[in-house]
Amino acid sequence: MEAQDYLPLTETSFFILLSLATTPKHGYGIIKDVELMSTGRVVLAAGTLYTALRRMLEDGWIERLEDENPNQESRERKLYMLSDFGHQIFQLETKRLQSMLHLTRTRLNERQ
Amino acid sequence: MDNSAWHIRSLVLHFIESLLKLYPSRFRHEFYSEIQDVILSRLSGAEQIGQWPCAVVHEIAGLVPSIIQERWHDLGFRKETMMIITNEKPRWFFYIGWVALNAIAVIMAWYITFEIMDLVTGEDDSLILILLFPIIGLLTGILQYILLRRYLPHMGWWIAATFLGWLMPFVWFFIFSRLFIPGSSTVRIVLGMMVLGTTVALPQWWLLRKRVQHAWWWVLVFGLAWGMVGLYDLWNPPDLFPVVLGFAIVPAIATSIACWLLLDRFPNHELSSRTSSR
Repeated sequence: MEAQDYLPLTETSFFILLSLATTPKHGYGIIKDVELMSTGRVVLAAGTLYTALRRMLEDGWIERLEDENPNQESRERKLYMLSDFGHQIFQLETKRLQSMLHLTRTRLNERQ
Repeated sequence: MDNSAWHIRSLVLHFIESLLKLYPSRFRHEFYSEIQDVILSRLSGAEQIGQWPCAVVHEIAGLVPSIIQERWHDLGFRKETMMIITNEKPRWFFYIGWVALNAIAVIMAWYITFEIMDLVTGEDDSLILILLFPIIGLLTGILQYILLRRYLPHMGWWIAATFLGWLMPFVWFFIFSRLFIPGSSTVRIVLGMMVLGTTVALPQWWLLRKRVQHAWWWVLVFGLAWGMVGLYDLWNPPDLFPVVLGFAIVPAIATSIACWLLLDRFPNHELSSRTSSR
């Protein structure tokens, strides 16, 4: 499938990709980051997150790496990072949202 | 933390553990320890700010749809991988063997039935149906399984499905016996036989549909073959043997053709490429 075929993204997918767009993160890191970015509006449950991560891994949006600096308490911490294909999807979705925002602003300005 | 609160938390954690075990094994193998760590981290974080119950509800509410989704996904994956295994194509001896074994099963079933009839009564003809169909089902199920298992994995249920399928016409005969009253029209007999053939094939189709594409061919071919056997009414054979032979040979040839259609004619290239691209 082409990157275009995956659009539009769900809010969960968008936030996960946004979280991974800057640095690779482990599961709990993604949850905390998404909560922070959305100012507490989006709180991902672990089940929701890992179902999304599994799908993204299968579709090649993200890659999974071993954490080279794991916490002492944690057992097998894996890091997730955006793949090139994931970046492409994220860019396309961002452009789509930008164009929608632009359109909305233009239309609202016309009214005023 | 007092004792009862500790017990409640321990129970809740056990419940969450049990829920995690409901994920399909492939998913568990990949993510079990991670997801467990994340939930524990989240719950301990929530405990510090006094939101432990909310976090528990939130996590459980997230786990349930996720498990259902993963189960559903796993079902699709297993179906695809199972279908790939069926790609081995049967050779000519499979088709000849299929016809021969099916014919042998039906003739043997008739023979066994008449032997039992002789022993038991020799008079009551209604016993024929009670004995014949289950015996045909069992014998054909076993003999077909011997051939099929080389091409389709995990086919142990085939014997049970065939046995069940052959019990169906037995039930039908009693429910709709008016369809088969002596002197009824050929059309009614053919239609009735087609319905019977279709019901015989249904349990087998139920197994096949998970393993091969276009499994509905099986039901169609079975129904048509039985309908053809019903044409014996036009010919009005002088004794029972030609009818028995018809029952043995016609559906056997037809299902052999169905095997060719399912295992050879419609190879699963599309599925293979989809799975290999994962």
